[in-house]
Amino acid sequence: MQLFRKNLSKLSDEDLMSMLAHGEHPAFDELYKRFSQPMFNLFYRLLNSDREKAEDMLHDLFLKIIEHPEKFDHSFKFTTWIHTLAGNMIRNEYRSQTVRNEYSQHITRNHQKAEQLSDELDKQLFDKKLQSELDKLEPEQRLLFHLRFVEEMNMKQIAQIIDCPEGTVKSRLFYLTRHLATKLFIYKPQ
Amino acid sequence: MNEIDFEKNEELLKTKQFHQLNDEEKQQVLATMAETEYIAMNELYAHMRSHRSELVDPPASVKSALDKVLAAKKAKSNIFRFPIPAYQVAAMAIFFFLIGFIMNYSKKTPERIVRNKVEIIKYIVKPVTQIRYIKVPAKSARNNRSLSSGNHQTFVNNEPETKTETTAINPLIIRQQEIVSANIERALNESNGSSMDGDSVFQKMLVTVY
Repeated sequence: MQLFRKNLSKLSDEDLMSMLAHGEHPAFDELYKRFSQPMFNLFYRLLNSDREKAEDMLHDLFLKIIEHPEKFDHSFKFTTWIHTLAGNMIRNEYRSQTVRNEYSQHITRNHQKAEQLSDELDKQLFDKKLQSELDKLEPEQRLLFHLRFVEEMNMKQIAQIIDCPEGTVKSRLFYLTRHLATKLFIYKPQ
Repeated sequence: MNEIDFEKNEELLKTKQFHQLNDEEKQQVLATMAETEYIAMNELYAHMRSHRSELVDPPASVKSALDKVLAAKKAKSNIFRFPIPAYQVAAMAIFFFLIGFIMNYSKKTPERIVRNKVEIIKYIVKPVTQIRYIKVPAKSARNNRSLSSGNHQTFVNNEPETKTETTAINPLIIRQQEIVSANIERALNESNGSSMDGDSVFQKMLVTVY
């Protein structure tokens, strides 16, 4: 009876969350389809490209949505809410000692790689150097960079997610972009 | 650098290389950053545009695991589809209890006190006795008329007087009738009964009846 089924792809994220809160589980499939890839990439890039860790974080994030859909605040956009959840999870992960140890080891490995591949002037080198520079940043800075350059969120959404004024977001973004650009420009392929 | 400058600069960084800027735009940019910085940042924005297309897909195992959790939750809440807080369940139970109590209470037939005549038949199982002293006309006393005779005969000059008036003006008969009625009523109301010994009038009445 497909005629009587709702076309979930046309519904907004907030409507799908309302349906999920009322026990209509097909709404979850649509939400997962929309947000699984961007959230997975968020975790992957911000957690030192650790694929296993990113899979675990992705599972935990959507598990929270399944178990407590009623906790979604309809005064916010769903995109903002889910990124706020993910940002809090990433912060908690960085606070753990295990991540810090892996973080320092990852930096050492990347530096060795950068030195070995210093003569290569292609896009992959640039990508690797970019990731290396991102790994050196604080979690808040990494999140800010990802939300702006990868997710392409506007300043208002970013301000809501990281919980600071828009002016502060713009200022931080400017200095972060300039810092990364300066670092990368040295290694930019000629 | 204020907010407006940043947004304007960012728009230029996304769209134009440094040599593509006009004089006014160059002045605006150089007010906040050096040329080399603009070039580097412009390159970074350009690189990130292509970097966004290289997204990684999550594995199918994550979705499978989440589907199992979802199925388990659905099976658990199959009957009670909507989560109902415990206090609401308790309130509903109390509400329905009160409804049932009120309905049951209202079924009772209201009572009121009415006057109703009920005939009670009592049987005398014991002889009833009553001794009473009454005043009689002196004439009857002088003629040694016995009240216990019950035949209402009077003696005049030691000869029986057969005629007996039963009208109400005969005080002797009236008095005898009253006594008999009183005795009968008393006998009926007394639970243990009373003796007939000495109650010649009542004895005579019973003899007459039976």
